[in-house]
Amino acid sequence: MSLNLSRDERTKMVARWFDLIVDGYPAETARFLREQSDPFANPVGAGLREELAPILDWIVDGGDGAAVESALDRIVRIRALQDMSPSQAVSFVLILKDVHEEIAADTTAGAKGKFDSRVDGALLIAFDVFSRCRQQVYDIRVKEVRNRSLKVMERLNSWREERAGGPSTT
Amino acid sequence: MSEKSPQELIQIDLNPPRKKWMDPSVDFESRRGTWSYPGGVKSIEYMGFANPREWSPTDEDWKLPENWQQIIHDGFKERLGKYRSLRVFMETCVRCGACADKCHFFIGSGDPKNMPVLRSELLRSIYRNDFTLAGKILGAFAGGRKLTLDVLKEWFYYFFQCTECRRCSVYCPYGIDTAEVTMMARELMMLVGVNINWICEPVANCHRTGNHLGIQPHTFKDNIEFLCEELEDDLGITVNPVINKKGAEVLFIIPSADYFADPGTYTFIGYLMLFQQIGLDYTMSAYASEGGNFGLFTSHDTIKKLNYKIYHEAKRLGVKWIIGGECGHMWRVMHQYMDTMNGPTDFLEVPRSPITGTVFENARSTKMVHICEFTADLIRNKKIKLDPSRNDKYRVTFHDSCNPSRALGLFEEPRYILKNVCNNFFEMPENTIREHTFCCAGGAGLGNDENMEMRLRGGLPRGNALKHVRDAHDVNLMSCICAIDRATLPPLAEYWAPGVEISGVHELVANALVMDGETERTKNLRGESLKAETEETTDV
Ligand code: SF4
Ligand code: SF4
Repeated sequence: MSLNLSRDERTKMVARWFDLIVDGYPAETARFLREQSDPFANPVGAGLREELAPILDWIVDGGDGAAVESALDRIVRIRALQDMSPSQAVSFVLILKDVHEEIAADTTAGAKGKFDSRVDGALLIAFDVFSRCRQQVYDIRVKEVRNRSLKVMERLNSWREERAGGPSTT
Repeated sequence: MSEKSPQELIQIDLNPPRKKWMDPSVDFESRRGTWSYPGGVKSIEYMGFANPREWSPTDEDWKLPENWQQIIHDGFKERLGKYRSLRVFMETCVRCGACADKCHFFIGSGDPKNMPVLRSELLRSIYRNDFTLAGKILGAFAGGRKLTLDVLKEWFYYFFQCTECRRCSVYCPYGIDTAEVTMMARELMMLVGVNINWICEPVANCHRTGNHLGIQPHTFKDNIEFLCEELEDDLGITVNPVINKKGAEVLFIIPSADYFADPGTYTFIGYLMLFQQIGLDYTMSAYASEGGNFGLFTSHDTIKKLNYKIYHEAKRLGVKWIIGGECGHMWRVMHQYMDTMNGPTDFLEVPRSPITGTVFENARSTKMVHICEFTADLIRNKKIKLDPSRNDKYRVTFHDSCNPSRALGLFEEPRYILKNVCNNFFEMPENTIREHTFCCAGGAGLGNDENMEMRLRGGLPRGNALKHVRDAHDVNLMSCICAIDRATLPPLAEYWAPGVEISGVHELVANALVMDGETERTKNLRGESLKAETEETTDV
């Protein structure tokens, strides 16, 4: 069963949501995230600007899980690296409940309950994405050591062994 | 259970908003992954640097000399007298903020202390306190602060979070170069033994054997012969590497990562194939076996010491001029320091390509030509035959490495080469290339694995632009002309733009290069089929 939120309410909610997320950063950073509109100069702000609306739409209307996952990925991938605890990294999803309470016209307990449980669904996806990103960071770190020079060294050592007709000593 | 409301929960504790930038304190323990390990005792002792000891940034006590504040104060004073630029940089900033949002570490981390203006302010506040009248009298009211242990810890954290990429300086109306401020802060920290191993060890190795990895001459030769044999086995192409040949016309200087780590090795083989094909009379040196110079991240004295071997070997081998390979910060040293530190030389000639006759006027003083200038000139004069279709499986973009672009102004040559050796070339957005290029976030000694979190954070702006061309044009290869980039960009791409590989420019040159007497090529330098796999199956 779908929730009822007008375009206007959604636009207001996205704007408020954006503000709350941005205000989680130190003041100087928040100003930059808000004011710099070039997506390549401000990829963090651009990610929020472009992805919050589709995430909200998914929460309200349901639909393609893969699409919302990729929207969440764009935001969470960044937060997974910034100086935050895991709960802070995904908490931006949760604050949407407050935003809804503040802005939605339909304040009945039924509407609120439905909305909140859909937010919980998005939160769980965000948490999966977060875990995946963290795992990737560890994997990259381990792999880098090997890729860098060990690969060449292993090839070189077996070449030396072959040349010397026995195991290399150097 | 946390009592926090969601709105409280989201507040990032970087630097709580109400707290002023002047209050220092860094919790190293909780920020693992964003700082580098300190310099090892062996390297520090070997170089005769100050205060060799075992220590960790997480320790309460950093085991500093008793009079460390005085040492830094005196060192600061000496440098203010010696380098006019430092005094100007300390005095001039009007805090206009033009540089504030230009640093990749700020953009990626959101930490205001990564704004270049605040990074410099970490040093400037001490300058005000110690060397200006207003600061001495008014202290914090005049923007001054005392050099406490917490301030020093903060220096360590943030000055080893600057890759000296100089992007910020492009935007400063006064030309203030925060990279130079970082260099000075690092020099001052060196005086009391506060440094990182990823710099100290390469410096010590380089001093001992001529390259960062500590490879000795016989291993250098072995490595290169091995790579050449691999080429012969894989592609049936024979090249004869020349090492320590007296009387060769050209000395060729390369970064060590090119002959020791993938994907640099492919670029290295690319250089050799090109030289073989045009019959260049060149030699490498088993002693000047490194173009990189981590002295640049240590101190001016160390830059000079490590750079000296290049002219020394040029003289010993009796060459006429020098070609330098695809190395990044090497070119900053060559262009901005070598001539005054160890040159000008009286035993070299103005570089003149023996193949085209072109005289490289721009290198009249240093006698050192960038390989991209050399190759672009060959192409322009039609002295090499190229088959760009051999790179058709690649959809290529070009990452301007910070130093060749901002320190050397080398924008067009690599692009000219790429457009001649590939059929599919796409630029990343304007404000992320040429002098506006975004750093790989692993330069200036920060490309170590313990610092991976910070590297990936700082890699966001480059990764974001790369992802854009990947999505818009199916770009699958980012080419660059820096050995550090070739090491640091693969993880960056894996996290931010998966599916994009990294290469040097001369790897692609060699793929396209038609060599005399060659048999039909079916594989590229990586030993992969020349065609994309999907094409291959439809072709058959
Ligand atoms: S030199 Fe580069 S890394 Fe350092 S502050 Fe400037 S932009 Fe940031
Ligand atoms: S752009 Fe220059 S003058 Fe302006 S804040 Fe930055 S360093 Fe200072």
